[in-house]
Amino acid sequence: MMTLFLSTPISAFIRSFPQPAKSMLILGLVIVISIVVMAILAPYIAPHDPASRVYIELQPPSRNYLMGTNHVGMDVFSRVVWGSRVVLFVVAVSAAISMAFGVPLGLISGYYGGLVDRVLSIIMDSIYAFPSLILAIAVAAVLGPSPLNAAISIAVIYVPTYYRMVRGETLKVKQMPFIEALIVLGCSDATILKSIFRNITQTVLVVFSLSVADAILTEAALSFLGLSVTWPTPDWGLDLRSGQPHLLNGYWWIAMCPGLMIIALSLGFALIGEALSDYFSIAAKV
Amino acid sequence: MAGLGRYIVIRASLIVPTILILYTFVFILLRVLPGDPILAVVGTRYIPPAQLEEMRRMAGLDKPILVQYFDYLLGVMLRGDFGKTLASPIGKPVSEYLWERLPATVELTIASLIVASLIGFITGVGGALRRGSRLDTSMRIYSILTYTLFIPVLGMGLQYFLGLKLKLFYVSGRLSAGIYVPRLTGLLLLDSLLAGDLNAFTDALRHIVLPSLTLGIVLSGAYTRLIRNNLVEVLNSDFIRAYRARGIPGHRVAMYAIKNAFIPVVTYMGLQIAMLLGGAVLTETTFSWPGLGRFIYERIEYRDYSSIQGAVILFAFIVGLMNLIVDIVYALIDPRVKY
Repeated sequence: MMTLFLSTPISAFIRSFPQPAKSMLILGLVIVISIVVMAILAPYIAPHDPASRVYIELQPPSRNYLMGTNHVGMDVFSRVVWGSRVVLFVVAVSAAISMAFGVPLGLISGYYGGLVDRVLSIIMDSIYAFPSLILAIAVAAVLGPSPLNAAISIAVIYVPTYYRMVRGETLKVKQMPFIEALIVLGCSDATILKSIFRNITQTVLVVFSLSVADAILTEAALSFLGLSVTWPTPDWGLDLRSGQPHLLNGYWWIAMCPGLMIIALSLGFALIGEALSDYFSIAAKV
Repeated sequence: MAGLGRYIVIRASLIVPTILILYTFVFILLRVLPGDPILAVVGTRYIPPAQLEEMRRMAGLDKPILVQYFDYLLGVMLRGDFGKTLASPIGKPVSEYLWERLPATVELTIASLIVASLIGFITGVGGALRRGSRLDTSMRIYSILTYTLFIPVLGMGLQYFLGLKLKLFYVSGRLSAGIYVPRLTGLLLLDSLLAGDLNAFTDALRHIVLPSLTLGIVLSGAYTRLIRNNLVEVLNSDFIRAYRARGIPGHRVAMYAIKNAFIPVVTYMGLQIAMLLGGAVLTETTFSWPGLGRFIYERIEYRDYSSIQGAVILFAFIVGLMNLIVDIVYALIDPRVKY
């Protein structure tokens, strides 16, 4: 298995990273892949039903209840395992939506320029300047609490991030001789845009990793504020919130276990993003 | 200074479109999104249609959308009127809440900025002066880590260790019950000092330490990175080499370099205002800090759409204003800026 992996192009790519980017990339990948696997295999990993009382409440971590039990006697470990599904779902949907809008708009804006570019830029810059979390809260509050609505509100705030990076890169790539060649050859705009896009995929990849790292925190924030799933669905942000009063009485595990998972997942993506931006020498700002 | 006056006027007029776009964006967003705000407030309760109409009228939602747009904008600009609350207590001016809550947020953000820039300065300068060393790498890891530290988690960690276990600081609120500070600026630390009440001052300080430390640490990573990278660049520049060649002692060269590395940091502070205010919502919620962020959180529970709109639009104004202030400070400290 290991030797098989070592011969793939992916492993060759990882090995070509200089230190310390390589360690960061590997650590990041390990964190992210383990959490994704945990989410997929949740029914097999979680020892108990995450949303029903299984033991005496407020018990500290033990052999049978790895992360203890919460204030209503649910198994915290099982909730942490199942909770990974919500955050990954919301973040995946929101990243897909913001890329679907941000990338094409950035390409069009950067390639055609003119009035469209100016209007789009002003709008995107204004959204970008605004506190993103507050914007997401406003959208989510109007849409009503649900994971899909949380995903939509998170998507809104990362469109400008993709847009700005893609637009900037498009402006650079547009100047290159091979694009001029395509124009001279009489290629259609669609072909040229496709060709530009292929040359900026690295940037999109870096922006993706870093903005997902940030989106995880935004998702956690929305569910912490009660704007995503509703109790007793297991969710890291929500469990953090409901565990806080008990933490202040000394029962730290209810809030801290899901809380540290939020940080771990976000850190995983941030490490990957940092390593990639080092490797491609892209100074991305998210 | 006449030049500076003109510069300020020009910059100030450039802020107007930014605020207008933000206002328009929030306004449209809150209206095109599916979901009727009035029905959201009402929830599953039965309310007679006449009363629903009354609520709709109070929220100004019965008028044509363009009229609503300008009514609200003019109300905010001319009278500081942010509409009326839609949930209990119904019909109170939102502005009353906003002005009551604003000072708490201002106090928290100032304290957090101080914490963030202090930590950022120490870690960033440390990393830059020992570039490539283990210290430098650990500072980089620190800056990545702070980027992913989720505010409530860090806040609860501090509450647990410094508040609950060591009992050094209070874990929630701004002031203990029974302590009263006459309101002048609304900033408790300042007001208690002005009143000469040292007891109240210490109490307020023991309340603000944990929230400002939480928000400050989270924000500090960006400063670490920025100061480090700027300083490395400045240390490699010609004028520093010239100082060194003239035999000026290392620590004095470092002072010159640090001074020059700081100019971009000021710009960054302006950009960070958005992050700071977003972080304030989570910090205030975690520490029951009665500021604007906590206000938004409380009104979410009531689905009080007009209060949320008011607070969000006030935030838009603050962001615009802070950007203006940063521009002016930048012009004052960097002689290259023409005005």
